[in-house]
Amino acid sequence: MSILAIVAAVAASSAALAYLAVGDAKRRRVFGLPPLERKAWQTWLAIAGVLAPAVFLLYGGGGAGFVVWCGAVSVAGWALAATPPAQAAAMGRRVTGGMAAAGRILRTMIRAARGTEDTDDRLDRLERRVAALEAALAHHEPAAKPTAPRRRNGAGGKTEMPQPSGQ
Amino acid sequence: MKSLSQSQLKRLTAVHGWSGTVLGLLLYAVVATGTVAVFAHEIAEWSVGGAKNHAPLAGGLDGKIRPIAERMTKGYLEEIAVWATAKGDLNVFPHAHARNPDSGKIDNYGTLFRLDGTTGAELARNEGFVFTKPEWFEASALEDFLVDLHVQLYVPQPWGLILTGILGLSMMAAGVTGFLMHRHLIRDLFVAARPGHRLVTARDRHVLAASWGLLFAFLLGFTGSFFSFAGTVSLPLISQVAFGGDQKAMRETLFEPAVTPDPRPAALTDLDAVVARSTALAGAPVRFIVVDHYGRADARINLWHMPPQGSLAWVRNVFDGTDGRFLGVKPRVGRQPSAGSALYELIWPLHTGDFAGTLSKAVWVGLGTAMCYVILSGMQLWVRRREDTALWRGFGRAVTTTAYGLPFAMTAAAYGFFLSLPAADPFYWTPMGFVLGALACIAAGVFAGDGDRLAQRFRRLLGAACVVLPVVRMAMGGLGWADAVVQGQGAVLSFDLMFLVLGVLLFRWATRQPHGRAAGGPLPEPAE
Repeated sequence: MSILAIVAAVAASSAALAYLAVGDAKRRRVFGLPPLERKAWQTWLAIAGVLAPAVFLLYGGGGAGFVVWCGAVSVAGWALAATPPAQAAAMGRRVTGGMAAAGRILRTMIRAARGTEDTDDRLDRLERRVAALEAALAHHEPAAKPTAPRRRNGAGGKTEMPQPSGQ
Repeated sequence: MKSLSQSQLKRLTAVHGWSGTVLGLLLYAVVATGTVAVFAHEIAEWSVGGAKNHAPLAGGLDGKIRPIAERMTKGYLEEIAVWATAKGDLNVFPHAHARNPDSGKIDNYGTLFRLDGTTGAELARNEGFVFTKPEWFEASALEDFLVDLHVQLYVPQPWGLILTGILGLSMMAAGVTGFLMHRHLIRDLFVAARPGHRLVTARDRHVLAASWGLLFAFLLGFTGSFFSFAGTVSLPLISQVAFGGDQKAMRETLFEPAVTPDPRPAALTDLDAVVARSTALAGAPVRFIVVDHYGRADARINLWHMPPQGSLAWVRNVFDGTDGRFLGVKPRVGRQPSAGSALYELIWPLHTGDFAGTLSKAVWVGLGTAMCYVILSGMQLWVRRREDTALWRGFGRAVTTTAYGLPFAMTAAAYGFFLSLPAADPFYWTPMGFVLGALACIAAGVFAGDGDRLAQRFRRLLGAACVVLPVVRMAMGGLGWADAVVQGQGAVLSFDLMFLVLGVLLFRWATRQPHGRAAGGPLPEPAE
């Protein structure tokens, strides 16, 4: 059993533990949070999600991975449970933000490697260009009427162009 | 779980609390040093500036060992032990067994050669009861000290081992009584410490960490006691009961392969070929080699391997010393595989976490840290319930002083080691550094500030000690970071960075506002 498989199993179990912690009724009551409406099967599924990686490790390649998993999940479970909900939420936001940023960087890198850009990129570039032109126009004609706000329509990213400014 | 009556609960609380109070500080010392000792080998590598050769046992042994064996007298050829030091040197130890007049026990007596792991050049040579002189066979005084501190709290044998054995039992007892006392183990499994600084908050912290660490508290306590009592109580008892006090006969029956004595002279087979074959069979590197009866027809070559991937137990392969035949895998105890032997084989990996490389060791450090937290938070909870008494407030200061003083003293031991390296004896100054660090912390605990301010001062002190340590290491001639990267000395770089990060985190922790209760704050209250 490779180290990577053990790490993945611990990560999967920790994610399921985090799910259980977030919805734990007593934890939410103690910290004055409204109860989360969860079905029993969802909780049981999460419990299965905690234990399934251990079964995989146990039958997949000897006892070492399983014992490491037991130890790691004990420590991870404690760390997850000991983090108060507000702090956990703040950490969650930071992690989500970090992952989103990492995703953006990754996308940019992939596009740079491919030497291509997608529709969103072109639209973003176009919008920036239009904004720059508007700013320049506003600079030259300070009395001009304000333009209608631009907005995107739907996922297709179709952009309404600004209306002529009343000349 | 069956609910207990009030009187039963009261008795259990008394057993749990008083055993923790009486032995808690010593138990913390054993667990904290054990947590550090998990990385003992890596600490040794870091302290000596990395290993010159990471696999001196992998090949080229025959040409190094045979010339030594050929010039030894027959008496010393009863066993030749070969192992690598943290520096990457080779220790070759032809020896016999003799009664040590100092201890009255049978010990290994012989000549220990320290060889360069790559060239085989002789670096040092010492004769006597080698294992009573750590400076002869250990590369790092720091590793030796930390392990000794964990194993027997630096108390002379056998009392140190008996003490740590009792502490292991008390850890198990605390786990069992805590389990029985806590009625809502599953329901409270995700309840973080309630906000504020009430008694119930302290209780939440202790219960939560203890609940998650319960299984391993029991496991580590049991395996630790097992090792402590094995040499001091169990094996002497077995030797008396089953072998009429003949320790040699007991050792041969339990731990040695079956051999029909044949004293006829015979040349030893090619050791390198045996090492290569054994490594291929075990699928893991060799860590220790013993050649029994070198130069005789009944010679045996024993090779201990790290646990192969996916396995917990070490592997001991046995080869015929004359023709190199593989004779089989020797069970840890006895000559046939058995459940007892299989269980015995699990004790070491389960206690030390030394079975899946850095990952398992890191997890064991996490478990040890959790155990330390459980012990300290338990003692703090006990004190909080009684803090209107001056005596218990004093005990609270002792808990804070020990909590921070022990890591500081261990760091001071490292300072003692590095500062004495160029011109003095590290095997003297490492424990002395620990003693001086401990005395400084005790003095600070007695004279400096109240509980919260004291803790903050300790954090700053410990943080500063951590940050400066890598600088001192390098200033005393230790390996620089650039060289460490070039030479692939991961332990050197990792430990330096770890100390720096730890120091910064401790400083950040110390600069937080103390959270002492304001005057007129809530008084001690029941936790339930």
